[in-house]
Formats: sequence, C-alpha cells, structure tokens
Amino acid sequence: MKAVNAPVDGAALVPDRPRRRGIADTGPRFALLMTVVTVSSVSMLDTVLAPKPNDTPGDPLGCLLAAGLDPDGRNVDNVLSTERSSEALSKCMSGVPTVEHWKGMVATLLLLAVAAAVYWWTPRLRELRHRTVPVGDVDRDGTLAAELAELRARAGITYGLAFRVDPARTTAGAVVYGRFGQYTVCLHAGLLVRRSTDPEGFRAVVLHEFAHIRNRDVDFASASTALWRVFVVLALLPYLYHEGRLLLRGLFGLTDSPFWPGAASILAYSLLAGLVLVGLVPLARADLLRRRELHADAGAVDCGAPPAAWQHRDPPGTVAASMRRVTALLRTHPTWAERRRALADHTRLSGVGALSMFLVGVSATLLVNELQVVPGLSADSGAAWCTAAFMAPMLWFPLARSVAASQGTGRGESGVRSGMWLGCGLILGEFARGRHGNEWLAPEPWFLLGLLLAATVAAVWSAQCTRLALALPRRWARWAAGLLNLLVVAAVLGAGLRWWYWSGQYLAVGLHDRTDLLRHQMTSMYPGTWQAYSWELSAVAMLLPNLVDFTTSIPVEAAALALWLLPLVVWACTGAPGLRVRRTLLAGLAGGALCWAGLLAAGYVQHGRRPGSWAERTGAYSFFHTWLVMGAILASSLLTAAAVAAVSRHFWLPRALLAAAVAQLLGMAGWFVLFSADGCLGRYSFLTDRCQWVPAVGLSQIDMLTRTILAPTILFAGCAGLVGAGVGWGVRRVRRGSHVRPAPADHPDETPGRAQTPPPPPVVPAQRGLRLLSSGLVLVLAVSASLLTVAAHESSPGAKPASASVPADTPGDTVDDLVDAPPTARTAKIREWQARAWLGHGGLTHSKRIVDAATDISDAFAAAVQKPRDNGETMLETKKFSRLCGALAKRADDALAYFPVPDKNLQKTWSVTLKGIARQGRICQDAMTPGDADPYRTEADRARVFNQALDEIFDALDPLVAVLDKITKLATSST
Amino acid sequence: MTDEVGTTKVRDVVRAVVTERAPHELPLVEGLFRFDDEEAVRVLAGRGPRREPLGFGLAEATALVTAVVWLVLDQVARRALDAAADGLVARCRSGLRRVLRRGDAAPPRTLPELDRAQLTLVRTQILRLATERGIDTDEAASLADAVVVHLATADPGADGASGSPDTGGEVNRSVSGTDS
Repeated sequence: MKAVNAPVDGAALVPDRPRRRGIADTGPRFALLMTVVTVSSVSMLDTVLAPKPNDTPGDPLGCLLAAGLDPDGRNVDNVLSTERSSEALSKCMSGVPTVEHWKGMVATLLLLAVAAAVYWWTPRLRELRHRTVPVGDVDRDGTLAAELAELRARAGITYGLAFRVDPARTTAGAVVYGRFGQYTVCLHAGLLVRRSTDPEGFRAVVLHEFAHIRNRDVDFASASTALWRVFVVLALLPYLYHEGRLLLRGLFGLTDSPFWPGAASILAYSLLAGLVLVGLVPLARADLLRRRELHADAGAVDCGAPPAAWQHRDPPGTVAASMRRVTALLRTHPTWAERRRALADHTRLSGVGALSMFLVGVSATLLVNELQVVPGLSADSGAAWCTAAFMAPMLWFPLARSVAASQGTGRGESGVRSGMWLGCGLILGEFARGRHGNEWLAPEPWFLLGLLLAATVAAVWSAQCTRLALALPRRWARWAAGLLNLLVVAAVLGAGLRWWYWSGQYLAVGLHDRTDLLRHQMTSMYPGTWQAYSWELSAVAMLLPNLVDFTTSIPVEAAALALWLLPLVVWACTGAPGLRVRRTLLAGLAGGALCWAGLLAAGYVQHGRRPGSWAERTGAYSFFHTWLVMGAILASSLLTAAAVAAVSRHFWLPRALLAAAVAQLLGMAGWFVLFSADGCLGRYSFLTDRCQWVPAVGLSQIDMLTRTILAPTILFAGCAGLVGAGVGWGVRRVRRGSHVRPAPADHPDETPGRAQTPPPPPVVPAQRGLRLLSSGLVLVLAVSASLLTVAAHESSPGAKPASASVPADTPGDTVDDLVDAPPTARTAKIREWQARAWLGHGGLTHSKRIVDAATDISDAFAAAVQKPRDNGETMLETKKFSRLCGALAKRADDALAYFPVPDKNLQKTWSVTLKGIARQGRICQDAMTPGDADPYRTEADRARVFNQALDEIFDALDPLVAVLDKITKLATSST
Repeated sequence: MTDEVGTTKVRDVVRAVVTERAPHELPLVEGLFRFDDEEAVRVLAGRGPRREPLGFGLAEATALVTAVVWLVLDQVARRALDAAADGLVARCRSGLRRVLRRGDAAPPRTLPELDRAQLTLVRTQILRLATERGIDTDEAASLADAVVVHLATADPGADGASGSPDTGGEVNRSVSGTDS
C-alpha cells in the first residue's frame, strides 16, 4: 500500500536523540569498507585483465635476472640487488609496458554500475520473489494503516515509505528494505497476529524498523550488500581463480619458470589478501549492523516502545557452544540478552568495540596497499599519512564518545584495549600484504610490534587527554581540544606508519646491511681511531635511521610537542588535580638530574680516552661524545617516562610524557652549560682544558641535539611509558594476588593500562597564586620547547648534520651500493639464466662498444703513424683523439651503470677494469684537450701521458674480454 | 482420478476452526490462502530461523492454532489420497501428476469423511501437536474438540475413499517429522 506515502509532520513528536551520536562513526566505517572493496577491485581486475607475460613486449623477468635476482635466494639479497641497480633496471624495463591501471579502473566503473543496478532493482526483485502483498490487502477495517501512520508520525519519518505484508512468514517480526529515499517496511504475517495478542510488542517491532530507516541503516546495508555481491562475482572470484590457477600449476609441476618455487609465497599471499577480504568484509559488515541494531532498539524505546518487548529467549542454535562465539561474530543481530543489556545501560552503546578497532586496522592497511594504483599515492610517506588520516577519526571519535559516556559511571575507558586491537589489525593487514618476496615470513617480524606501540600510544593518549579536556568549562574549548586531540592522534599514527614504511619493513626483511653502510660512511667521514668505539658505532648505526624517521616531518614534530603540552595547557585552564603536575614536574626534575649525572659520567669516561691532538679530538672522539650525550638524554627521559607511568594511577601517559619532556629540556640545558663551559670542569672536560664561557658553541650543540632527538625522545617516551605502565600493572597484580583481597569485584575492567580509571577528578578552582604560577610555568615550558622545535625544523631539511644526512629520504637511496654484487645464485641453473640475461640485456652490447671505441682509437693512431710529418714525427689530431678517448670513457661509465656481473669474483674484475678504462680514457681526453689551465708544461709531457693512458687502456682490454668469455661460458654451460 | 478424496476442503475447516478458536490469526490464514496447500503447509511447518539484516531478529513463529490445525488436517488429506491411490502404478501416476503440475496452483486439498476411530486419531494428533507447540492443555482440548466437531459436521456428500485404519499412525509420524 502506497497510501501512507504522504509526508507526515511528526518531527515534533520525536524525542531528543543524543544517542544517535553513537552511530556516527559507523557511517565512515561503512565508507572505509566499501572504499577498500572498490579499490581492491581495481587492483584485482588489473591482475585479471593483464596480458600474459609471454604476450607482453620486453622481458621483465629477464631484466630482474640480469639485475642479479635469485628466485631461490634470500629476499633481502633480492631487494638489495633490485634497489642497487634501480636505474639500470628501470632502463631495462623501459620497453615493458607498465600496469595498465586504466583497464582496472574502467572495469571497476563497470562493476560499480552493475552494483548500482543491483542496488536499484533488489527491492523490486525481493518483492517478486517473496510474493509480498500491499498492507491494504490484509487490512480490511483500516485500523492497521491508521496505527502504522501514527507510529510513523511518532518516529518522525516524513519521506517515502511503503508497507507490505509477507504472508509466508509466520514470525512476529518485520524487515525493512529499499533504496535511498524509498523504503519498504515488510510486516511478517505473524506480526499481524501479534498485533492482536501483544499490541505493544507490535509497536516495538514497527518502531524498531522505523529507527533503522531514520538511522539510514537501510542505505548502508543495501548498498554494501549490493557492492559486495557484485564484487565477489565480478572481481574476487576471477582474481582468486587467476592466482589460484598459477599456484596450482606450480604445485602440480606444470611450470618450468625459473621463478618457481620462489614465487609460491608471492602467489599464496596474493590469495591470502583476497581471502582476508572475504573474512574482513562480512565480519565488519556484521559488526556494524549489530551495533546499528542496538541503536535501532534504543531509537524504538525513545519513541515509546516498551522495553518489555525485548524479553525473548535466544534459540539454542545448532552450533556447538565453543563455536558460538565465532559464529556470533557473523550474525547481524546481537543476542537478546545483549540487546536488553544495551537498553538498560546506554553507556554500552558508546563503548569502543575491540573487533571494530581490529577491523579498522586491517581495512586501513589493506586500503593503503591497494591505493598504490592511484598516481601520486605510491610513495611510502603518502601511504602512511593516508592510512593515518583514515584511521585517526575512527579511533578518536569512538574513544572520545566512550570517555564522555563513561563519566561518572565508574566504567573507565583507558584506550589500551582499543589501541592494542587497532595495532593488531594493522599488524595483520601488513602481514597479509605479504611483502616478504619469496619468503613465507619476514626474517625479523617483531619489528611489526612498532605498529602496535604506535596505535596503543595514540589511543591511550587520546582517551586520557579527552578525559582531561572534559573538565574545560566552555564548549568551544572542549571542541578545540578535541580537534587538536584528533590531529595529534593522526600525527602519532602517521609517525608510526611512516617509520614502518621507511625503516621498519626493511628491518623486518633483514636489511641490517644498512647498519654496515652507515658504519662505513661514518668511519670515512670522521677520521680517528674507530677500533675503540666498535660497539658504540654499531649502536649509533642502528639508532640513527630510526631517529631520522621522526625528525623530518612537521606534523610529527608538532605532535611530539603537543603530546605533553596539550594536557599541560588543559590543566592550566582547569586546574584539574588528576594530572598531579607538581609531582610530575618533580619527577621530571629527578630525570633531569639523572641526565646531568649521565652527562658528567660520559665526560669523565671520555676524558680518560681523549686523544692528544686536536685533529683527532674533532674526529671519532667528538662524534661519539655527541652521541653519548644524546644517549644519556634519551635514556634518562625514557627511564623517567617509564617510572612515572609505572607509579601513576591516573593520566599516566600525559604525566609520563610531561616528565620526559622536562627531563629532556633539563638535559639539553645541562649539556649547553657543560659544553659552553668546557674546560672549566677539570676531569669532566671533554674537548679542551682552557676554561672559558663560549655560549655560541653550546648553542650549536643544542641545535644539533634538537634536530636529532627532540621529537623522537617524546615519541619513544610514549612507548617507554606504555612499557612502564605495563610493568607497574603486572607488579601490582602480583602483589595483590599475594595479599588476600577479593578485589576483582571492585575492578571488573582492569587492563594493563588501568582501565579502571577513577571517577573523573573534580574541577577545583585553582587559587590565584597557584594559577599564575601554573600559567607562567606552562608558558616557559611551551615557549622553550616550541622555539627548540622551530629551530630544529628550520635547520633540518636543507642542511642536515653530516651524520644525519646519511639516510636519505627514500629507502631506495639508503639501501646502498655498499655490496658490489649480489651473492652468487645457489643453483647452477639460475646462475646460467642470470648470465644469459645479463649478456642479453646489455652485457654484450656494452663490452662490444668498449672494444669498438678502443679499436677506433687504435685505428686512428695507426693512421696517424702511417702518415708522418715531413720531419718524421707523428702528428696527432688532438681534437679527434680527445673525442675518441672521451667516447671510450663514456662507454666504460655506461657499462659501469649497467647491472653488476652476476658473479661476485667476475664483478670485481669487471668493475676494476671498467673503472680503470674510464679513468685512463679521461686522462687521455684531458691530454688531448689543450686548455687555459694546461697541466702539461711541454708537448713531450703531453705525449708521455697520452701514450701511458693508451697503454693502460689496451692492457685493460684483456681482462675485460676474459671476463666476458667466462660469463659466456657460464651462460652456455648446459648447452 | 483427482487429488480430491472428498468435498470438504482442508482450508475451509482451518478457517472455520481459526475463526472460532483464534480469530486474531485470521489475517495470517487469509494471507496463506494466497498459496496452494502444499506451500502453505511448508510455511507453517517452518523453514528454520532465518534472520535478515535490519529485521527485528525474532525467529519464533506465531500463529500456533493455524499451524496445528492445518498441519494435522493436511496430513489426513494426504494419507487419504495416498490410500485411495492403491497400487504402485496408481501411486506413481499420482506422484508424477503432482510433479508435472508443479508451477500451477494445485487445487485445494479435501478431506474424506472420517469415521469415529479416525476422528479420535485426529483429535489425538491435534492434542499432541498443540502441546508440542506450547498451547496449554485446556486450550488444546478445546481446539481438538472444535476440529472434530467441524469435521463431523462437514457436508459428507462425497464419494471419495475413506482412510485406512493406519492413517492416524502415518499422520503422527509425518506431523512430528514436519515439526522438527
């Protein structure tokens, strides 16, 4: 019956619905899920529609083999070999067409169009399939329509709505479906019976369905269902078939590709990524719908439905009790008991679901992985910020809502649980991306825990800071604090992810060779006796890349500042005693004192091994002293943070961060004093013995320190605080266990982060004097730290210190050319393939060009010798020989830029020989190029140099040819 | 040979009984009259709990009286029909005809004239199924009585075969089977 379609002005009857805020985050989560599905379909259809390797021009696999890739070798070696020869590789690959994303995108657009058609026609099809009838057909006396209209007015639904009856359903329920702006409530025939026997129950059911419409659940549910079904049929199944077929071919021995079995893990992870989606989407959808179900119940009760209508028993079910927890995750309805509990205790609607957070983490990483198809987003940093931008609101908003709802209820929201689940989701998502190359597991997967720490720090800080900010008297101030909170959460998550994409994932792969590279660069940069500093050098080389990841981004540096400053400012505005600022500052002072002690100890130790000469003091010795100072400041700050977090009962993370910041500032001040007055400290002096006050030198040191450790210290302190709090919680538990105290009843929700937070601290108006003092203190701390941050950032991007400039902005640059050649392949067959590819993709051409260029020179020389001048001397055309020698040098350079020879020993000879030819070629070129700054005094001088260069060049040709012969032999060993 | 073994339609008896004993279930009965007997019985027997997203989440069937009466009477009608089609060939024909006719609305099932013993068995079945479905004993007895009265007073003008003595046992097993 469409008669009820007339707009009804019932909005006035609708009660205030503050609880609608509770579902505000589910909309973006639906959007996130659908975005993941859409973007996944692009990459999946890319794969499905890509031409077979044999049909593509170019030889991508050959290029990889030529670059030294060993399908059976260690992943880390393969990563290094492709990174090292990245230029040559891209040159070799230039003939290979890139992935044609447009195909995937067009196919996805078609998929979306099909999904839209499905979405549009599903309600109609459903009516046909279920043979539902308009409600007027069973409403002889018209009372049903009148009652429905009254309920509709009460629910405030003024847009298109039709009622139908499903005569084939004897249950006393109803269901709502439809498309945007046009909904149908289908009453089960059993519900019409219930209307007579239990009118209130009837109204509850109908109001529940109206609440679904009002909350836009119909739009979300039907759109997501349509898209998911079409995606499964048109993208996911073809993709799984495509990848599964390749995997099966390999497993059954139907392939002779050199990349099998190395590619088995890659194919398996491709399948896993698809299967993760199969698990993720239904789970997330069911979780969202369950949450919305609870809100629809609450909405129905708000509109006058009696809670007694929810007194139903859960059916026993057919699955075993042990499996019920698992199957419950896939159900779109919570249990009746849960629904009743949610109706009785509204704070349950505001809680942060562990599963939700986990799924957000998984979705976000999957999304970023897939977003690589979008031009401009493939950079690791872009991916990190993109993920953070998606996740931050979904973490901050539910936490803030939960904290606000738990005010005064005794149920604490610590954020620990949410953060840890989010972190676990990130870890699973990253794991499923399977960036392990031909290995099944990253050799050092524990680096993934960095993501867990980042997510937990962000969540805990957000929850505790929101709790503090609730005491702010003005609404706009609370909103401003909330907005800042959101930005900081995004920055912290972004920092963690950026670290992962820049360093963490390479460390997980086992790229510790970076450490060797840094060691090498440091020792060559700073002269000195490095043997005395062996372990320090290793420590610095390990620490440096991780520090640099956090210092080259304005948002991260600003967030590091806000992490401790924002709670302090809120405290200064409200005087909330929970933060215990005085005690925290005292702890910070203690940390500062510890830091000073460390600085003095470092000075004392270093003084003992101070080299005699000034030149030596400014080398390795000075370098390490600076790092010792940084180590002392970092260690004392982290210790302070851990200790404060371990003993604090409330607001432990902001307190830990504040104490760490104070300790750090004091440590820097201490170092400024010590360094400015170096020489006056006797046994503790580090560089000089002449006592004088030189603040400029101290400032330069502070400048360097801020650039390197100012922001990382605070971020690491957050992690240290987490660890400290965990230890403190564990100790307390053990102690409580040893005492006979039946406490658990009082602390039902206690988690490592002390979820059982106290009732919110009462807002005590601060006394005037105290207030002035606190404001002054905040001002001093804020100004000094801000100035340091600004100074750090202004000097960091352009002119980084020599030590910090080593790791460049992309991993590709940091992964070096330290190792000359990839390790020799394990199997003879791969060695043969590599040699063949190396020769075929340019090895032969480069060798031939060099030999040709050398032959040109010798021919020209022979021609000149045959035509002597009248006086019998040989006349050489300088310009011609300059050109020919230059061409030879260039050929040699070109060959050097080509892939290294896929054999370590041969590569050594190859590289040395080519370098020699290039050098001699340039010498020859210079000798034949007369210029203003002519280094050759006489012509005889010039002729001698020229002749010598030519001799060297021709001598070098023999080893070159020998190398070539050996490679050719290697390439044809099996034929 | 047709599916009719009498002139009393099952659905007429169901409507009469429901009107008398549970008039609030009439909207349901009228809705079910849109389907043929086979489908209506399938609906009433229940297809297991099916939850739909955005439904209220109730999986329990209501409309107890309709289900009890219709299921029992349908079994009586079917057993009588099978007994009438004595012999294997006749049964096969009957079955084949049912299969071939699927898609068209089948004619309503009818009930034969029942003797005293059969009426007693029907009463027992009603009582048993009603109790199983949660109807209290007194109400179940009234319901059973009402059904028997309606069957006994129905117009007997038909030449269909009467049910065999073991019809009741078959009904018992079948009804219990559909209920599970």
